[in-house]
Amino acid sequence: MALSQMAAVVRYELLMAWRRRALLVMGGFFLLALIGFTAMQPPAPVELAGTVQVDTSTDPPTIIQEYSAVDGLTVEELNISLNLLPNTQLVVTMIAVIFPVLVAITVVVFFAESIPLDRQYRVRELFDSTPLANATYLGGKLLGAWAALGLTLLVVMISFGILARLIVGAFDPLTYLQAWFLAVFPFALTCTGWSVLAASGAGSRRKAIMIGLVLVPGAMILYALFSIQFWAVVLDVGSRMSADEPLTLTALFGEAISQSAVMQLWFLASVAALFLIVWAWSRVRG
Amino acid sequence: MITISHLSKIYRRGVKAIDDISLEIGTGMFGLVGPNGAGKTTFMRIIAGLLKPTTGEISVFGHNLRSYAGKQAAKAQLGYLPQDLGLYPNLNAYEFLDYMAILKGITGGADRRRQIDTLLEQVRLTDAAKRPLKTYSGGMKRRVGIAQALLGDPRLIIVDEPTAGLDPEERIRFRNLLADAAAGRTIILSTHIVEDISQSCSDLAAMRGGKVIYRGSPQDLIAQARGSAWTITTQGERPNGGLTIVSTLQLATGVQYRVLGSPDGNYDAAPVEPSLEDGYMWLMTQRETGVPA
Repeated sequence: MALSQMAAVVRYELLMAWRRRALLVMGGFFLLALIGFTAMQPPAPVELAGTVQVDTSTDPPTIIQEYSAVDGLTVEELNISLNLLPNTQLVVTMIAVIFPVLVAITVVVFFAESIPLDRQYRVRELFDSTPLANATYLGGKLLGAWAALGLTLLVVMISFGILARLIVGAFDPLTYLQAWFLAVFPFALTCTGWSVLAASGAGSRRKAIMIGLVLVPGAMILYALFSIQFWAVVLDVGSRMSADEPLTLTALFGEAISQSAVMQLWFLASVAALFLIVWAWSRVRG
Repeated sequence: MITISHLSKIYRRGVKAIDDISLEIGTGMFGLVGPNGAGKTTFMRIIAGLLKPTTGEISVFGHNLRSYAGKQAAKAQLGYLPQDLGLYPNLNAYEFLDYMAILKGITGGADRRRQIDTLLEQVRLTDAAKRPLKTYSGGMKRRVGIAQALLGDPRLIIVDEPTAGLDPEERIRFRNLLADAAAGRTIILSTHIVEDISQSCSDLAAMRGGKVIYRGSPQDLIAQARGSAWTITTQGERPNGGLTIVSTLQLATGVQYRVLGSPDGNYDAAPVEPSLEDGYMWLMTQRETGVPA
């Protein structure tokens, strides 16, 4: 029965979020912001992980500077695709580095109202009169928020992928997907989880949004930790380039994304810990 | 059977909402009356398992509400309509009932659809079932509320001030709906509209200051006011001398007051057969003046 109840909470959370146009507004904002940032990038020389500097304004792109780490290596030996690499770096920077700032600011405020809204609509008392366990309700609300966010991000991912292809040209789709699924999704889920759970005790939508705003600095710290690690790994990989270890997309971004994903597993674990605290507190109070 | 033993509820700032209540409630419609602040809603919320009592025991069909498992088992047999009913404005009635049905444990799709269709028919909302709830009138929302309370064929139904804000036609329909549902079930109806009780309950309790000050049948409560209900017609001046005015009627010849008490010889008072409202008012007046009921 608990699974059916949880599935119902998730289903109706999604339906209500859709009808409130909440997902449309959030997804539209994400997409417009991403396209805006991407379109604003000037066709200036692009520096690839401290390895080479590429002028993307020429056709075809040309290497205008090679650093000491790659002295003596030809472009072919570096295994660089001068079209693919700068474009991929641009979209990965957008997705894995700039976009999480938007996510951190938006979702913690946006999803804070998930549970308080039930109190504001005064349906919580009805729910409490049913044999719905606290853990099921809390889990359903959390999964509902995650599902709403996940679907929104999926649509943004596909739409931005298509639009970015038109704006900046070809990029590596595998790295693009990795950036979304290993960097953006776990980070966004963590921020959402914090927001839903931390604001669960708020009596009104207004108080919940206040709690969401209080969480913004926390989300930004999370982002800083994640971002610093990401770039540290990229630069480290770039500085190790040699004829034996040629520069590839996988080498450059794959490791950074994978290591960030591992870090984000810990962030998600913090959501699980917060869930247990909130659940235990609701049991004590109930 | 619901058994309540020495129940008390004291809120944080020391406000005693329920003061040592012991009651047994059997099958049928049970009315709970009392003025605002008497503790009715707190009492109902405790029976519904929404609020923890400070002291005392409650058993609902053999399930002790002190334990989590007992509370969950009791909730599986409960239909609840709160005083301050809330609905999701963006869902329609069908969707809202479907959601509530799943939460109540009706997981079979076909059974759920059948129950929802039947209840929508009963509360006469079939035609409006697909309209968003935000477009419903107060009466329609109340009907959705009673439909959700009846989902899952509960053995205990708790309804708190269900007819507040309804027009007379809606109120009568609502009362009849509850009376029909009472067969084989326990329905606890809390209200300060005494007429609702007189028309549908065979057993009632009156609360005041967190205590049960009367328990018995409506007829016995009416009997308590027998010999104390009068009509007095004056040219406008209000009767005094310790009389409680129950109602005022403007007539062509003057003003007719329905009063409780013992009028002195200054008034041309005519005895009348008391109603349940008179009995209730008589009970409350006696409590105010410290006379035991």
